[in-house]
Amino acid sequence: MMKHDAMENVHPIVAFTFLAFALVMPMLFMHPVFIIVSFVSGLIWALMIRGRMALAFIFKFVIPIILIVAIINPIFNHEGVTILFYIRDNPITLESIFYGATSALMFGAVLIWFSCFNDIMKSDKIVYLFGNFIPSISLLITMVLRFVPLYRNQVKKISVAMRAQGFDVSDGNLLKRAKYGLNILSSLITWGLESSVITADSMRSRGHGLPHRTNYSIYNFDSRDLKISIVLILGIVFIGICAATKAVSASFFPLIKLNSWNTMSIACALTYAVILIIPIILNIEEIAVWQRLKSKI
Amino acid sequence: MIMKMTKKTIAFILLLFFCLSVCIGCTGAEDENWDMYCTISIECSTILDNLNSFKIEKLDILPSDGIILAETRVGFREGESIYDVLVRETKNRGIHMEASYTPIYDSAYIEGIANIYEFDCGSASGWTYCVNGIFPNCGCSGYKPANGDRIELRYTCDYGSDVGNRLEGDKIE
Repeated sequence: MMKHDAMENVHPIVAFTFLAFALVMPMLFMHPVFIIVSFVSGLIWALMIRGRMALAFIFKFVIPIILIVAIINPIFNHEGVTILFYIRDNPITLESIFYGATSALMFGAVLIWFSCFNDIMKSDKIVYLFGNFIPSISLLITMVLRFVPLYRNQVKKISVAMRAQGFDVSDGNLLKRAKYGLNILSSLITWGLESSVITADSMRSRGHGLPHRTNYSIYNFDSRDLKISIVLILGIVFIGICAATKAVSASFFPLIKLNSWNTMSIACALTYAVILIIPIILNIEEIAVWQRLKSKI
Repeated sequence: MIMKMTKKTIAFILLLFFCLSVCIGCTGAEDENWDMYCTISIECSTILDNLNSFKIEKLDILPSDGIILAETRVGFREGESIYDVLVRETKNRGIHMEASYTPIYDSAYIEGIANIYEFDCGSASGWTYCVNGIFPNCGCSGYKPANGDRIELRYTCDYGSDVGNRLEGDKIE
């Protein structure tokens, strides 16, 4: 399902910082150029991580949402100086369409980056990151998140077992199907209660809640992590300076005003692009190293 | 299959016609057999006195004298409300105007004219209107002007008090 990705071996702190940056940036900074850079790089990385699954996710989920957002905005937002035509006495403006398209792409970019986030930041990393200063909450979150796939699998198992006995939920009239569905629910609840007792027993027997316990972690901060974090920190500081000095800025209403492109703003956009393609570079680097090692044999 | 295709094509052509008719309906010149005439003016000079609370990004579109539409004589038909006149005149002149309709009050509300919106100049700002210098206590879609009326649309930055409308909500005739 999911291929190995170079970002998985990056230290969780670095990976989390990078992903948080990639997630938050489009939301904080609605500049069309930056949104497009974020969308494209996120798309390429998602394809690298999941291949065809990513394509399905994009066509079934991301693109419809993008279209809906892009269409809805000009219908409800009539601000802008360039009037294109009227719908029921209210003007449809170019600015509003442009803003709708940009915010739709932003939405898509955030969705894609979040899918990447979920693939890379597995529960062990979350617990490693937040286990020290919010131990119970991070444990709770990981356990709650674990319940979704866990219960889904169990529902599948129960319904398959019931079908084998001749009680098929996808067959028969509504009343029958509801009855079978309730059967599934009741056995799921029984199983859920029992499994949580087992989990609790298991946790206690492994010493959960005892004082002076340390966490075992297999992450070490290597030279690659150092390089990535230097690029990240310098890049974030530089982009912050650019945004603060209005070297890059975008406002959509009442008329579209983007910054003029001088050396500083181009450098800012390039920095942003370089940061966002870090995972792509890491993947290509790993492939290159592998090819080199293979040819030596 | 062919049936499906033709159905789709017909639907598409109908849609095209619909769009076209909407567009033509918007831009087409209306015949000018007016029953009555009134004058209409749109101005926002109160913003010029409160520039520091006005939205910075909208300074470019603020007219320097505050006049969006100077007093103009326009015709209208029997039974048309001020809102109908305003919609037609802003459309004809390419002036931006956004309004919303609230069914519970059966009234239109002018949110913004020429991209100057309510709340753009402080939380007490928005569009008001007066007829012959009197501010009616109803929405502009509920007021039917008479022949020769002088309609002014004025932007207020202080609940109307700065354009001459003292809040006398209790004295509804």
